[in-house]
Amino acid sequence: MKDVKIRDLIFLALCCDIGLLAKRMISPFANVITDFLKIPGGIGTSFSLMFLVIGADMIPVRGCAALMGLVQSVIMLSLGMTGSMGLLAPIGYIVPGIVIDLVFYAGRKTGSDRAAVMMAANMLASASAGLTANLIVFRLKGIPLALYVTVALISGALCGGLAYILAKRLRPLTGTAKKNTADGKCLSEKDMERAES
Amino acid sequence: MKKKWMIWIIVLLAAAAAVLGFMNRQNSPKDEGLLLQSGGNTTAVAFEKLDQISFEGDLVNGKGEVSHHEYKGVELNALLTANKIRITENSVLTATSEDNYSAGLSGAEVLEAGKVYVAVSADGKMLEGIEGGQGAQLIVFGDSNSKRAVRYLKKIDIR
Repeated sequence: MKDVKIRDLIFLALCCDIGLLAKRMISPFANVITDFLKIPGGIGTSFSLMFLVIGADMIPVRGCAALMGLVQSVIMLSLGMTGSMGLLAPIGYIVPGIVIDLVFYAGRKTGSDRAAVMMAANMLASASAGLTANLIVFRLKGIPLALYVTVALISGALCGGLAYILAKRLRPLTGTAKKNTADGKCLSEKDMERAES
Repeated sequence: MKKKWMIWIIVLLAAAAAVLGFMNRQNSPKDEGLLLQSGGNTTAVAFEKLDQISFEGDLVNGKGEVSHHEYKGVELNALLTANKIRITENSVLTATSEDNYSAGLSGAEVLEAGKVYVAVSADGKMLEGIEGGQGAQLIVFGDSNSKRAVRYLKKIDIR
């Protein structure tokens, strides 16, 4: 992490900010769907997490999604925009970040297809964010909970696909373009070590 | 090949969501009366079943003109307490009308006695919903204009 370029850190910070802003922007549209389904959310969070997935894909540093989640939670706490979770809001930001890191770690270990890894990361991160919010605030059970998680998984899959397309176009902006020579594959552990050294 | 199974996963999830969404809507309370949304639960309160009290006060319109009104309805804090919804000073409430006009309230304002009410009649006349029948209006005393006096009140979201 100490060898990460300032340009990359600025890019990660931008991803954090855009993620937070995107959630606010998409909320009115997402609420139309979630109100119709009578669930407390799931779509806006997936869209917001998309930017963490993009950041984690483009800056191949271990733990960077968790770090972005931490930064997001600090921003939200300092602006007093904690929503219904109150002081526990950081958990809701950091847990999905850790899930994204774990999925990328597994993807890099196995050399999986990048699109699949990004979709899986976004899907599982959205589901984990939903389950965390449910544990802390909503306390849904049965059908509403199953629907809430299913909607989070679907929107996560779609946003993961979108993240792949965006990351592909944004890649020339960061130093990862040269390192990801075998496009379509995740960076291997060796590539990661080389990128970090 | 990989793209195919990704699409299949999304299609299967969408089918599951459609079935679960249908079942969830069937099991949910009907959208009649005032809806109180808190912590993922929705409580529908019939306007007729409100424990009504009389209250009066001054409202200020956009031109700064002050008018005095007598209402019947219920204090919002009492309504929330009666429905086992607890708020704190840091809570954020959003009142939304049938035509999606919305106004924000803080928990501190709602907890302040004699400030925020849900009225069902004004100056002896029943307040109507957007399509007729019994409706309600949010009344916030002390505002410099009546922008938060949400007519056709339908939903209060508590976060």
